[in-house]
Amino acid sequence: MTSYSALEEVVRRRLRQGPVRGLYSAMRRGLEGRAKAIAEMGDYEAFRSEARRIKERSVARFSELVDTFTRNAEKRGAKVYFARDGEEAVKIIVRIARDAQARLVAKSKSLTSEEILLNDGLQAQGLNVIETDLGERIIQLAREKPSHLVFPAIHKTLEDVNLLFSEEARREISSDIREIMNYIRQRLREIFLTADIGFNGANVAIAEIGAVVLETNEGNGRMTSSLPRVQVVLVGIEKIVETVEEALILAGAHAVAATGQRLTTYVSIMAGRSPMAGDSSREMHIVLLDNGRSRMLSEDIFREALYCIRCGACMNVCAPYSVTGGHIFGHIYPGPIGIPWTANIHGLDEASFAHLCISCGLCKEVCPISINIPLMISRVKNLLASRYGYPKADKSMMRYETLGKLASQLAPVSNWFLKTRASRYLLEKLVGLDRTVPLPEFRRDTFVKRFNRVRVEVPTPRARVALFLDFFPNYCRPEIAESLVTALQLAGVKVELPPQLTSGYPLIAYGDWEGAKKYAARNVELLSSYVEQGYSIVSIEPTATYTLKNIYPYLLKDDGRAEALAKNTLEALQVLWGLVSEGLLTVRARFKKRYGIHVPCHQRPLSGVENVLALMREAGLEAVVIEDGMCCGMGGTFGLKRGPIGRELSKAMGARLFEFFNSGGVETIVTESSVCAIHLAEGANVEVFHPLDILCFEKPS
Amino acid sequence: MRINEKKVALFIERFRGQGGIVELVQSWDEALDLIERKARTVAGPVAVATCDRKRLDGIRKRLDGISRLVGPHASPTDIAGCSLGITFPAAGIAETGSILEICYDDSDRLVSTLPSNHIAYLESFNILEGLLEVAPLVRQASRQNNFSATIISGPSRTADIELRQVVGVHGPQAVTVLLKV
Ligand code: SF4
Ligand code: SF4
Repeated sequence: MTSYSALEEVVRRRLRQGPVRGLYSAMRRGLEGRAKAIAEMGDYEAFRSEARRIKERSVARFSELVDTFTRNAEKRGAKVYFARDGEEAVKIIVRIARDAQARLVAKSKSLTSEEILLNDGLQAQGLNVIETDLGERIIQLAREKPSHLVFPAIHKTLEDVNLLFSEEARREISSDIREIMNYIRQRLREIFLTADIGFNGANVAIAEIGAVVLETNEGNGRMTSSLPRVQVVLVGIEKIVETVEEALILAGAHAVAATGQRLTTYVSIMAGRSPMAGDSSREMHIVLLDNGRSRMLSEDIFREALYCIRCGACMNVCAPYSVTGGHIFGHIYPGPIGIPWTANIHGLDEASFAHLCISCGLCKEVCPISINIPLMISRVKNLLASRYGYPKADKSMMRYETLGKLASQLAPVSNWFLKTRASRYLLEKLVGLDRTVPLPEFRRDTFVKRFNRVRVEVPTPRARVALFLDFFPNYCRPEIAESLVTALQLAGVKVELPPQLTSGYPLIAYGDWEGAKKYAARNVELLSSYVEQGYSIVSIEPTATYTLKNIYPYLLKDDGRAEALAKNTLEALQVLWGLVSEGLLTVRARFKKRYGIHVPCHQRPLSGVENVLALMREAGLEAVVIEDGMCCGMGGTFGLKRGPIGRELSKAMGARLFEFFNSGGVETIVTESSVCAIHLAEGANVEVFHPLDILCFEKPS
Repeated sequence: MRINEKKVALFIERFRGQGGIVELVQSWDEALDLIERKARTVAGPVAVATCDRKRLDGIRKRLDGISRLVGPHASPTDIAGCSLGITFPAAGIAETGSILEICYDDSDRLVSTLPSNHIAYLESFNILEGLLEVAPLVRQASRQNNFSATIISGPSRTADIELRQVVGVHGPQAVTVLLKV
């Protein structure tokens, strides 16, 4: 178990060493490959929905599919075993090896085998187990764990690898990569040809024909599954689908999301044990593994983890993972999806790296099965909190609304207080708020107080809008909300400001489900009557919009009003661009600069950069979108917290993006998120504006 | 040579895009010319997968005095000693730029697995448009007690060391489709 303070310590050490070498390039490469493949695919969203439906269907019927698969595989002479847990699976495989009088096992990459520590179990019985996937072989020789699902040894340099293989060969191998490959090819050929058992996992299993599907790029899986006399296949029961078509669709989804290939180089569908040159005395053993999977199935929130096809795409967008790497951001299963898997399979205590998740939500967006990983992580944090309590800083951050209200009531004194070194030192000690992080100015004259001054009667409104403010536009940046309301009213839109709370997203981020549900229920209560009267809810902050649209319906599954609220919630810029396109408003620039746009994470599943770009272009402004494929690192309130699980990690996550802004010659950054603005202004040392600061809306003459 | 079918053109483009080689031939005889040329270049035994009599005789005749022919149904060690493997895929897949090999004996699988060079002879009317069209062929094969169906998209590759792309780590370094159009 890694306690919170132990986790802080490993992260601090990592930060001192700098990000894991080569990791970001691997992640980037995966993302770019994926983006290119998707662009060529046509309707990727339809494909993605189909892949999800397959997993939903299969997982829901998994006990029936286990039976069908077993029956059909056994008809072909394969021996099928069902292992309730890892220990049982290892015992079964050891028994198979003993019966076969095996000594040497050639193994193809299988995360499921790592889940059950199969190698340890086999080696304890005196078996020689050789990993044959290059990356896995490297980490086997280095006695480490994989740090990435697709590139397990990405943290190793060519020199590291050369050293490992030279030691193994007991001679010096040249550091030329081709020379290394030749050595591996020859060395592993001997293994393939002499192994008694070939072991492989399965990416998918097909119930209707009792077949297993194995995807590899290197071709080692083809050898382990064909050359040795005895073949052992370990399959997690969540991998079984009903039909061949379903398996092919998942093979495509896997390759596209993992590396941007249309398929991995070899997709092998194997049913029964084929003879070798006419010799049919060969064996196929298939071990179906439960190990907590059926329990996950019965838990609504964690069921989705079973849909995972292990493509690794979620790791490629995860900013904290990009800095800390899979050895810290992972147990045996690394990365975002590793959190719910670890909590369920290896125990909650092993999943404490959940605290590193900054709740940016991007892993869900990139997942080919649209798995709601962020909410599962939030639930893991929730379970950790019920066991150990919330970390101090998390607890304070969840009280943001009370603190904001107080700071605003006491402004300007509070602003002065928040600037003194003594008070910041005190706050850091008492509530975990980092003493060096820049804080926004709080306004006594909040937007709620100003609204009646801004509001005008619109006698025959063309539309009606109820404003959803959230924290910053009310307490710190009321002029943004004011510009929005003024523009809407100019276009003949009636604007109301219903009583409301802030969105409550930080509670989700730190795992307080009960608290978050209260926020959701209260806001749904307060806003629903407006929705029912035909108002659109217009929200300014991307995280608030995301919460209303994506989180509330999940938290309040039984309340239809939450779904209605989600459907009727619009983004502020989306509405403004709509009015400009209809000719009801014109837009001009207040000042021209070399702008760089930062798209906040929660904006990406909404309209992305579409509306801000359209409005800026219409106003005659040029802007480039600058991103590194991940979160800027602020993660809402995460970057306000003291220490390595907070500001220190947050700055390390942002370093790349700051550099991109600086090297891109950007004079001014534009972003819709107020917290990203704080982080970017400090990190990139460039002024940052909200689009509504730089755009001016007028009535067409 | 004009490729008038869209799916054939797509197959060629995509298979090549993944590092595979496509040579167009107009007849089996022309394919034999290329096989002979390749056998001379690689200078080692040649493994052949199960195929009909006519094809096997053709290859045997052509390679007589040039290379030792191994198989069909040779032992793994013999196939591992070959520099070239010749197979006859059941289909090509345009959407993914792949070939589909269906085998009922694992020694046939090894012909496209162990030698450094793999040549696959494919007739263009066997090219399918989409990946899902593979399913009926797999189902048909599944009527046999045992089978394997492998979809191959180019040469074996890895990027496990510092993300440097290297082909042929375990499987063939070159995969050539002799496509009869
Ligand atoms: S929500 Fe963001 S930070 Fe958290 S695991 Fe997913 S990608 Fe990583
Ligand atoms: S959770 Fe989704 S993105 Fe992550 S590995 Fe699984 S399928 Fe891929």
